[in-house]
Amino acid sequence: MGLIARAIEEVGIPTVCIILRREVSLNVKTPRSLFLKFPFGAPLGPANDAATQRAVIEEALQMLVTATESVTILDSARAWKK
Amino acid sequence: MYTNRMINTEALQRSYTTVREKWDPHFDWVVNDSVMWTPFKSPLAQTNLALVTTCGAYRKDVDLPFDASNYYGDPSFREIPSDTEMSAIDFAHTHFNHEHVAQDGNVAFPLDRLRELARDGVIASVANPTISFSGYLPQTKQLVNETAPAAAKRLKEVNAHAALLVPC
Repeated sequence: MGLIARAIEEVGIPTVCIILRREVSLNVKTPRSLFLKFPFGAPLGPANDAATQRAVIEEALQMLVTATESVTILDSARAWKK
Repeated sequence: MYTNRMINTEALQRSYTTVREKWDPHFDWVVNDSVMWTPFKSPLAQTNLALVTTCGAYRKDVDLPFDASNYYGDPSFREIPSDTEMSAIDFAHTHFNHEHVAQDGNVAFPLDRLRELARDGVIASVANPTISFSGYLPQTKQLVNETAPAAAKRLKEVNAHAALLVPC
């Protein structure tokens, strides 16, 4: 996914990625990443939990505003609740 | 500041071994030496936001599903109109647990959430179309050289100001 982000940045569009593995973003050098401790298959949170999904998205979008250099990874404080 | 030395972990090593043994004996992780950075300039509330998923989302009975059984992955992408109903979406990607997307596709392709953010004025709009890739891709050459640049060009054409990328 970081490779796609880099291609999008290349044409002048800033990106932010939700990530489930920190080290892949470090290796690919993804510009902005929000790291969630969520399981694979549920990157934005539990099914039918619109509030969590929205909060995660808004947290990621804020990184567009706050990140100042490439390969910025923010660790989300959210924990997975079943 | 950055070197091209790979950061390795047990989890990456396990995936590396699994992919090599089961599907693609030539698989290796991508490590980039250079960084990429485009500053974000427009306020969020004026942003035409692109959605890019790598969960293999496609429109049932409209799009050709991704070739999820291909050991080497499928580097193509689908353009999904931003007004598509979530009930029309399915996922062709065999390398993640579908338990969650089967109940609610928004966990990986959050079209409803982004439309709500646009309705509430947090962002201006959802860029049309959205872009969908299928993320298991041990061979990345075609993605890097052809399909990712083509998707990026498409987002530029539709005047996307920023992009949110969601994995699986």
